[in-house]
Amino acid sequence: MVFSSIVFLCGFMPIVFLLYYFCPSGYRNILLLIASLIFYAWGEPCYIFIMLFSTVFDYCNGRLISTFKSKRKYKSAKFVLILSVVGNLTILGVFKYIDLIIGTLNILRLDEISPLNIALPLGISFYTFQTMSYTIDVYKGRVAAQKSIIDFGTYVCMFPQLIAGPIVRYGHVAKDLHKRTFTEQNLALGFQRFVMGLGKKVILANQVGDIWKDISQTSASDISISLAWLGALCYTFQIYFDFSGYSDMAIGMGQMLGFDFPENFDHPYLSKSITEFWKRWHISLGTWFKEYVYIPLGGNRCGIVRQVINLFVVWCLTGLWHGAAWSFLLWGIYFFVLVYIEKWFMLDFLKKFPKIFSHVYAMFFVIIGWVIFSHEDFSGLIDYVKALFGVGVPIINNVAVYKWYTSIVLLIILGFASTGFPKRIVFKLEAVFAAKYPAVDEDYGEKIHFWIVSVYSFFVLIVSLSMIVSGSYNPFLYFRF
Amino acid sequence: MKVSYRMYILVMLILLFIPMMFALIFPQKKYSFNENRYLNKFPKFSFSDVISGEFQEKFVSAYNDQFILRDFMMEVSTAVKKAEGCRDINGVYIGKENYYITKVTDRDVKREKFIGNLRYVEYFADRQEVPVYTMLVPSAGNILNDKLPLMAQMYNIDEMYNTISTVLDSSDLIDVREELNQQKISTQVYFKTDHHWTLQGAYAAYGRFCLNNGLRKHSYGLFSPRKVSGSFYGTVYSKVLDFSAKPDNIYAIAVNEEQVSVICDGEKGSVYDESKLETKDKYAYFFGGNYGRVDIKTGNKDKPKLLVIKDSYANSFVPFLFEYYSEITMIDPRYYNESVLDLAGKNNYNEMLILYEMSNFIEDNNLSKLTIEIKN
Repeated sequence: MVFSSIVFLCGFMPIVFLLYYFCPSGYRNILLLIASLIFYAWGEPCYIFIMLFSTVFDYCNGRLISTFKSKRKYKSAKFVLILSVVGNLTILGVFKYIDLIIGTLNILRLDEISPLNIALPLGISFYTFQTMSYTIDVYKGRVAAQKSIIDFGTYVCMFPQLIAGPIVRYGHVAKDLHKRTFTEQNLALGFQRFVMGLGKKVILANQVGDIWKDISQTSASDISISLAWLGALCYTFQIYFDFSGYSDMAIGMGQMLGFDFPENFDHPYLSKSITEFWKRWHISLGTWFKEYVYIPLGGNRCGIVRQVINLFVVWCLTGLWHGAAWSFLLWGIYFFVLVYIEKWFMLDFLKKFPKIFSHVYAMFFVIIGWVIFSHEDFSGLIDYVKALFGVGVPIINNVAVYKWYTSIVLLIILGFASTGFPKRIVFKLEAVFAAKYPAVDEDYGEKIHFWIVSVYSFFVLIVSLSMIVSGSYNPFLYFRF
Repeated sequence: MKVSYRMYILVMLILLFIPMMFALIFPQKKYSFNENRYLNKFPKFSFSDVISGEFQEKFVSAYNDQFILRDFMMEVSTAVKKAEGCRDINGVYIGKENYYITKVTDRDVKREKFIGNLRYVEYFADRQEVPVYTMLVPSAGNILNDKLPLMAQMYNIDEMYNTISTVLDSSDLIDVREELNQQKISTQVYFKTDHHWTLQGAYAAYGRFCLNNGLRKHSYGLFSPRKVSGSFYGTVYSKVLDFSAKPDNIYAIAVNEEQVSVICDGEKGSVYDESKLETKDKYAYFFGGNYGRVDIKTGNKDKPKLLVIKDSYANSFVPFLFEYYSEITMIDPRYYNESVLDLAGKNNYNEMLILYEMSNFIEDNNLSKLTIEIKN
């Protein structure tokens, strides 16, 4: 089930939250677990067993590690940890990367094996990372092992973040799993957050995605520099609004349930460097790789050579995590090079110039990054990059003029929406109202703010539902990962 | 504050529950006239279907199809897309002056298929001893290029015409481009909301037909055209459901129904079907829609016989030809499953006409039927 579907919005979601509201707090986790399993099974009835295996496997590993540690059998604890990591990586390897490996062997003519064509189980990249982080944290003593399989299952399978993150580390929600406060405030504000995310996805990302799709299929004779850049810009916006919209929906629903999920995006397109971009983009993934790969490898503590190698490893893995194709590795290495250059001298160099220059610099490389990301075949990528830089194509043509003037309004909206301005407007409106009608009670300002967003979210929801009903096919971009 | 939160939650929850209640309480709708298709219905629960995912798939499409105020939702969606600057929605250009024009680009046009269909026509024409005319009518967007959004892409009609002349040898091409381009200056030659040409468009083609075949052409007024409907929202509109759309008028020329007899697929029909004006598809007013075979006796004695192989564009065009022919047979290969070669061989037609709208001709999958051999 996807969030931006009628079945979820006008079926699963209201029913589950209504039940949850009236459920005694002691039974809420089991309700949530069952709901999550139904949510998952709706789209992938068979793959649910992989997730359940992963859950039980790491639940046992966590318990074993904690038992061995309390008995001071550190070697055994370490063995279980390695078993857990190897187990998780094997699952990920088999279901996500096996065909990439087979394909590569075939290309290198080392072997002739036919690809297995295994469909990628939904959310596998996310939940294997979550369960892995759990056993590592238990081993490191950062968190206590979860004794209840229900609570642990709730953590792994929880539907808001199951499919596309954010990657919630166990420590972040351990307390909430046990006991959480469920208030009307969380329910209302969480729902508002959810609707904003839905709007980002359905009203903005899907529309700009259609433009990108059209441009990416343009025949070679119709391409021009301005069209190629428009396409790249559209994809840049699509992927941000798609993914951050999804994260907003997840975080919003988490809040409605009483959980406090970590933020995943912080206006990444306002960045002034690539280093900054990656601190603002998919934050939970960056943190995960830093905590569980970069630092254990030695981070920056073992000399400059080791640091460069560590960085390289992290970026290669980050790339491959996004998809099972070598183009994603290229994409990771691309960012490794940029981040390294910035570490080396570029950040200091940029400081000498006006801010706007840094913004342009950062966005230029971000956009090129997305162009690499969007092409799984190298020849297609090379053709597109050639078009971007005007090799053998005109600057502008009729198709480009048509596409530009029919998308410019949307692009302006998107540009505006990817900054912090919309939030400021709400505060401005609040001030206007407050000045016009003098305060009657203490939380007056808060109330005005709430109702402004409420009315807005009402219309966003209606429009989103309309757009979902009007187009039946509606997959999320991030489902490939 | 707590009251505010509760009120908001209640309103939103009700909003999300309404579609579910609607789907549960009201009987399922069978048909969508705007979309011209049967709607999906909720599937019966079966465990094996759930495992295979078929149940879920059917359930989703049914829920979408049975959604409350579905057409209104479409209208909202179109309005928002227009506000975002979009000028082509669901393959339709939002043109100037409330024109809705089907988007057919060079990418959509399958060249091999076009040539293949032309070859079927050539094969057919080559086997006839009487003149076979081919009239392929340009798409609305080709002629009404001034009504398209600025710089909007359409396929290149001139290239298509050049291709015709390289394949067709046994058939005489009636090129109606010039007449339509002339006629559009003073009148409306295509519907604003439908994919067909108007009576004026058909009249322009009739002019070319006369010129080509040495017939005496009458003025438009002489046919006493009258308005039969002023509330026609056609198929192109149905794809976008735009709030700001304006209905089309349908005109039809006067026909002496007592003199003309029409047989549609063996049953008595009529040139005009008044009852269709009450339905969604008002263009079906002409001959009551499309039939595999329509036999018309025009009541004019001692005139030649004409065979028309056609799509629905012919339906409003053919009445202009009544006074020149004694009998006209219309064959729509989409619905006619017997041998056209056989029919053509047995009935002593004096002339034949193949009449299609260009993009429809290119995509047609039934023209191969023209090559089905005569049965013994």
